[in-house]
Amino acid sequence: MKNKFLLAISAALTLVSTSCDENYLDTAPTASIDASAAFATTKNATAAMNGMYRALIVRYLDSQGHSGQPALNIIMDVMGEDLVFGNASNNWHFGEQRWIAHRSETSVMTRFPYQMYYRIIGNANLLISNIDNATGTQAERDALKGEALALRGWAYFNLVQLYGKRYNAAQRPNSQLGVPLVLEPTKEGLPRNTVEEVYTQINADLTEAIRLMPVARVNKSRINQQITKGILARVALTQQNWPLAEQMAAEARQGWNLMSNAQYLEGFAEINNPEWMWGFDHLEDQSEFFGGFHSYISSNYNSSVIRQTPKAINRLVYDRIPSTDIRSQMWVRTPTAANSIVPPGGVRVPFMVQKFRLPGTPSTSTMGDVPYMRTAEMILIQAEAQARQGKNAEAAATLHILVRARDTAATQTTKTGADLVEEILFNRRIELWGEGFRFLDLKRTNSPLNRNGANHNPAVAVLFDVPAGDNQWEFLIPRYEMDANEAMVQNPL
Amino acid sequence: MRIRYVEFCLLKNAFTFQKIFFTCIRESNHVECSTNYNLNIKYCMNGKKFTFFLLLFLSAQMVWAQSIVKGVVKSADDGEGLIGASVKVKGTTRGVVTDAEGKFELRDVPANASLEVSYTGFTATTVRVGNRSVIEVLLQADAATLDEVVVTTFGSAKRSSFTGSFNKIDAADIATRPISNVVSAIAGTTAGVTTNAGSGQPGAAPAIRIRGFGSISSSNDPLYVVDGVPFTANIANLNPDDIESMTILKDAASTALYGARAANGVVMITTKKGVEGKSSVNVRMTKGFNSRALPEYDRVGAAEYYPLMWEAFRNSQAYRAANPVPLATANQNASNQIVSLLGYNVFNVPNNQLVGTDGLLNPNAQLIFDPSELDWWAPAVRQGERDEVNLNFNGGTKTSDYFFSFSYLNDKGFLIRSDFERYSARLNYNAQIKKWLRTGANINATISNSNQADAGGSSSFVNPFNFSRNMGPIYPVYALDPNNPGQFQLDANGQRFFDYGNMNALGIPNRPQYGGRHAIAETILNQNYFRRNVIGARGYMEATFLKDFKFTFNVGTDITNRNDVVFGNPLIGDGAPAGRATHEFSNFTGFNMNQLLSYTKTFGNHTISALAGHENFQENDNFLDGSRSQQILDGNVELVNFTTTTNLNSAYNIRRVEGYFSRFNYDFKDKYFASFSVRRDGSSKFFQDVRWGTFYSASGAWRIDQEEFIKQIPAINMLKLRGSYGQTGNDGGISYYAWQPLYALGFNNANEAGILQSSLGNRQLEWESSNAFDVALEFSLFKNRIGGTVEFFDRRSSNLIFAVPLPLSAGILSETRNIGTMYNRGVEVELNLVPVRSKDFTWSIDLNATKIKNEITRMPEETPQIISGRVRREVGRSIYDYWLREFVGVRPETGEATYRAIAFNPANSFITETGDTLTTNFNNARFHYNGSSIPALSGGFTNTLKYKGLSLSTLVVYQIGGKVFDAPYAGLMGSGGYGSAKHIDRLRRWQNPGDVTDVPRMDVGRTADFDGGSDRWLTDASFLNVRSVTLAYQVPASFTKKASISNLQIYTSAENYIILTKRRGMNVQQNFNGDIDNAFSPARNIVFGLSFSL
Repeated sequence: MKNKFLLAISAALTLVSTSCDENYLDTAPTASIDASAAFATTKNATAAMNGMYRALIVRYLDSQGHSGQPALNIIMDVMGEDLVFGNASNNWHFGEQRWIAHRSETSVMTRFPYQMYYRIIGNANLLISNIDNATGTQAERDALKGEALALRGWAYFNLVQLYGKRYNAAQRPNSQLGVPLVLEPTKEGLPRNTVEEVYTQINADLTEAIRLMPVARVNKSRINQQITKGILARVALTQQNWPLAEQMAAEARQGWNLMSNAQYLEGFAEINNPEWMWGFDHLEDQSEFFGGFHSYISSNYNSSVIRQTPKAINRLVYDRIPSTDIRSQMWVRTPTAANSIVPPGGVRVPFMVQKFRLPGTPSTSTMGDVPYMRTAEMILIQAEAQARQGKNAEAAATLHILVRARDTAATQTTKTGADLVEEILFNRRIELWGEGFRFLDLKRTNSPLNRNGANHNPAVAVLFDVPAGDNQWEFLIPRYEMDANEAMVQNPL
Repeated sequence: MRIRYVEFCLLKNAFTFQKIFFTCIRESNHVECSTNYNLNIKYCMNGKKFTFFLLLFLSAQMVWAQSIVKGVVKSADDGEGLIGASVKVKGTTRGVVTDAEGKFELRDVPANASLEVSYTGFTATTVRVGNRSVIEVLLQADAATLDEVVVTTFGSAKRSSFTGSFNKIDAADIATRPISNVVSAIAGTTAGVTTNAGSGQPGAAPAIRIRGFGSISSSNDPLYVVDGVPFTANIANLNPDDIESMTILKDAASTALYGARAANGVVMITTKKGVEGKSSVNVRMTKGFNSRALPEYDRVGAAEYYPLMWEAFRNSQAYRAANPVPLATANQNASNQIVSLLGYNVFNVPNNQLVGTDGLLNPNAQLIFDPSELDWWAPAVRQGERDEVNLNFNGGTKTSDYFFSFSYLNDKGFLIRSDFERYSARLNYNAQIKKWLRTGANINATISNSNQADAGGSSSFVNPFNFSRNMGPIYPVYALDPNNPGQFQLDANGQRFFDYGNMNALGIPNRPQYGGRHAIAETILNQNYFRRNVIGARGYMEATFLKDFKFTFNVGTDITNRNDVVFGNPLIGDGAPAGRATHEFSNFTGFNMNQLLSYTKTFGNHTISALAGHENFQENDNFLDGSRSQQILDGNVELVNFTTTTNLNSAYNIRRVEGYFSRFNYDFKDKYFASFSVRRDGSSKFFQDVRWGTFYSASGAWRIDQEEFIKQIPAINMLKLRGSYGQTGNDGGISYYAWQPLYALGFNNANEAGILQSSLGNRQLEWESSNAFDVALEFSLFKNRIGGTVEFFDRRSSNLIFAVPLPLSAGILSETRNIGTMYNRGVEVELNLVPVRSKDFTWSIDLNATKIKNEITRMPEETPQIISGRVRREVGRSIYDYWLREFVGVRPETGEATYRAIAFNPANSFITETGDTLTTNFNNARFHYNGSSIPALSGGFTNTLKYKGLSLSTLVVYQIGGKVFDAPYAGLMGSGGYGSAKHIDRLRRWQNPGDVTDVPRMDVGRTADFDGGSDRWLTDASFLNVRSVTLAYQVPASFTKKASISNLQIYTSAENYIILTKRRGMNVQQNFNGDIDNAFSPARNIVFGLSFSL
């Protein structure tokens, strides 16, 4: 019987002894890190900073056509009058062009920019709140905090332009509703601040960022002091704060050149272009493939969107470009196999785009870099700000820096006043086409949308007129936010 | 005839054995043996059979008597021999199994022995041998099968004494059904259990829900336990032919010992074992066909299509808000442009005369080719074949038994490039090594290869269900010849080729619907498959000691090694133009170990049993995946054959559970039963302060039929009242690291490393718990002709885990929290009726019905209402109550969709004569509750007819009530979309002022307002599904005997034979939450089978 007692005892022991040590149930993932480690050192915080830039280049809501900031840049032009869909074959972004998508609470279009920018803001808030305790030098901490503030200010600027009513400098304070100012990590739903309050915060963030940030940076895909000034220039232009816009644009472009005409023809896909001040440096393992920027707007990527419904420019604008201007080669009025590049089987439509082009035809790669800020835009901001202040001669001279680079035959404009402003805006339209400005320019200048008389296909565009100041200039607040944030109120329907 | 022979006996002496020889003389059935051995012998153990018998004399000459008994076991109903019935000598483990005619023969039966005779589905009986040498045993069919063994958590129980709620599916219920995944066998058979339709992808399983929906965002799936150890591989790795039984444990009392994983019920699967005394070879072969079970939605044809789209364009001009185009101009524009908008003209009239300015199709228009050329389903589907072979060998002796099986399945789906091929083998070996020590191992290996249809994304172009469904009826599958109307172009080999929709270089128009895409071509050219190798092993050691104690050690593992390959071809689709491939290697290992110490003792009328145990459970999930693009050589999809790495990723995740538990059972006179259990579980998913939870149960049963006053009522064969209450937990379905705030790696920016916030974490997050009450009356009446169970249950889930949507402005989408409480309360009824039971003919009916009420009873103060998707959760509502904008109808004046308004807005609202404020702006449409996806009643009924060897069995699954959101229908009802298919209900659209209809006007400019996801798309979800039909014929033994085979059965069987729903094509059973999308719709499988034994 002895062995049976032994068995009994060992059985009982096995039962008890398998109780494991305290830490047995503590497990940790390998593909993520604990949040507390993210700001433990400035090195880790740098990674958290970089993650925010990358969050601008990922697909939102699983929608291929809504892959971050580059998609939004295309859509800002799709919603204007200068980007024309060649035909009705491929209907990506038709809802945006018809102004249906951004006016539907449940559409991807209302939610994706809101979600994306607040994601940036949320991550920036985490960094701003935690960076003071990170191991590293004070200079490193300042640089990161400044960079996070700059990105937060930029994100609020984009949000308030979309979801708020236009900023009107003549009606200060702008008490119309903007977006909630979330400045610290929170889970609470906050009410909407006024447009004035949001712009005040944007200015505060950007100004503080400029103070904290260094001039140097690791690469062009990140913001430094100079880029922040460029952003502030945009903000000031939108707020009709002409002196600040002029000053900031000038400072921002200090030391930056314009590209050569040869470089202009290279396809707007390379961040090393000397004129690109800020952009996304697209590496091969960071691609969204068919969601990529060039997958939607280039002339030669082999996607159904490009093959079937190439994008074209508004004929009325194109017809004004002098043939000696390099920019006239960015579109082709009557494309043929000889004068235009398309992917295999791609259709050709009048006035179709050639501006954006990937290396190789057919291009097998989506690894095109994406421009966020170029010297030309800073020149145009500076010129417009000068013109709006009545500094006609200075404005014309500033504008001519750009125009003569694009058109060696050009002479400096002699226009003044509103005509000069219009000339500058015309240059914005042809210089920045496809880079995400037209809808915002129309809105900030309180202009109507007018697509009449151009080459718009009525079956595609459907909508031809929207009066200036109409409710439709505001994006609707997404339903998800309405449901989860009791303090939220919808824009006028 | 006298036969003289020698027999031996094993003499047991302390711990040694000694062989003692006898000389025996057999005459007729009488044997006399004698030995010269002269010792004080008390026992003799006979060889391997462990027969005990008493030596009567201690003298040198010993004589005793024993007999050979022959007999036959028959059904008392029809007098047919019962094949495979067990006949055992009472008090021993010796026994045999009856042959094909029900006959048996037992040797060495002691005088005055009794035989225990049992057979599944019949009441076991004991007969005294007496001095008979030929015995006929008649068994009574027993609907309630009181002595059936129920496999329970960490043990087993007799049905009669079991205090919990369960249902059992036997091998016989599974055998003839053409199911590739054994979970499919559960549908409709069990009260309280609902299953969805499952995908038509071969090898896929339906999801099952036991007693409602216990959780909102944690898992609602039951725990699967195979041979005593939780199964962590995919159930598709089990060969249905290996399954002896599946026991579905429904209430807390029967599942509580699995504590934290048992809240959604437990399915105990037991695989087959060898049977003592009988070696056999069993063979089953089937050949079958798979086809589509659900028809397609009714869609308009080419002639109806053009006028609809003409209107869509015309109205977008004539009705636009700013600068509308005059109607006559818009009409003319539409007639001029309709073909250019749609790309194709499939009629023999000029483009601008196809649809007149009156909006009607030109009456002279004739199709230029056969309409079948416009059918995108025909090339996508096929008659899939299904082949299956099962072979098993089994046998056993007194001390060991074995079961070895091999099976091969090749199941080709009805959609092209969808199949499932499985090789599986199992070895189950058990041995009584010592009298006190029993051990065994059950090892299975499965190799699966499966081509997967790309039917995952409801709106993805590569998904044939989306593509073929929504393709306008005017687009040819193959490339037309622009120079010869009605003819197709041929390639260099003289073959037609696919029209990708962007082949304008060949002179054919671009197709606006899915241009440059072709799901058929892509399905053919792409690859998407997995190879999966699974090894499962279960081992145990069971030692009995100190008479009443038993110690069991179980260990088990399931190791899944899987390789997924997805290849996008360079010609068309997502892989174009360069080609791309993704390979993923993953290893998923589940490891489980438990130690059980049990004690059982009977004192007079009292029997007690106690159990203490410990369980350790771990899952390791490891993967490596990589994607590359730019294919170098055609035909090779290995990553080395691509140039550019676009993704390379790996992770290793661990989940651990640790549990201690105990159970105490008490039984008085086999009449009153009680059971108590408790378990303490720790989970690595929760923070250390809250990770341990205690779960318990108490239950009891009263065998009323054992009371004297009931025994006197002959009509009552069985009557049992039972009840239980208990608490179980749930941590399934959430992240392995749910409590931890995390930053995700991999958000690199240019060449700098990047991380991004991925979860908030929650240190307070704790177990979801389920408190379940259950009471039931089980009965069997009138010689077991009417049996059944009526059961009430109330299952309360508290601490519900939910990913609470946060404001987007918080920067992160959700936080996982414990949010509230809800109950699933319901009544289950099961009835087993045998209206006819005669010698040759039996008719039996099994019915079950379940009514469930699901209601949320508590929500957190900070979020009293949570809207997620199409439902809103709040107190007093169910988990699946629709919260949608209210569609009112179509405004006769304008044909606009109208909704009840949130607020009056002069730009888009109007007030009706009855004072309702309606709006035509979808964003101003008011939300309201409108029903739920949970049906009023659901269940199934099985009808079985048997005439001699012929049987016909039909299983029908039904649901009454509930609503689905028919998104594919909504898609087909769109008011715009040049080139997209339209439902025939679109023909009822508003056309002219004054038209009264519920279908808004066609208008591509108003799609958001007209087609929005309102309650307009809710549809009654009642359905009737003839889930299984089997016609079988058992060839009489008299025929098969000559061929030396037995149990020859030939049969034909069908799954999903008929599905009837409110709207043709609607896949109501797709999801429990009522969502329908363009998923792989269920398959109809019809097979012909043959099975026999050697």
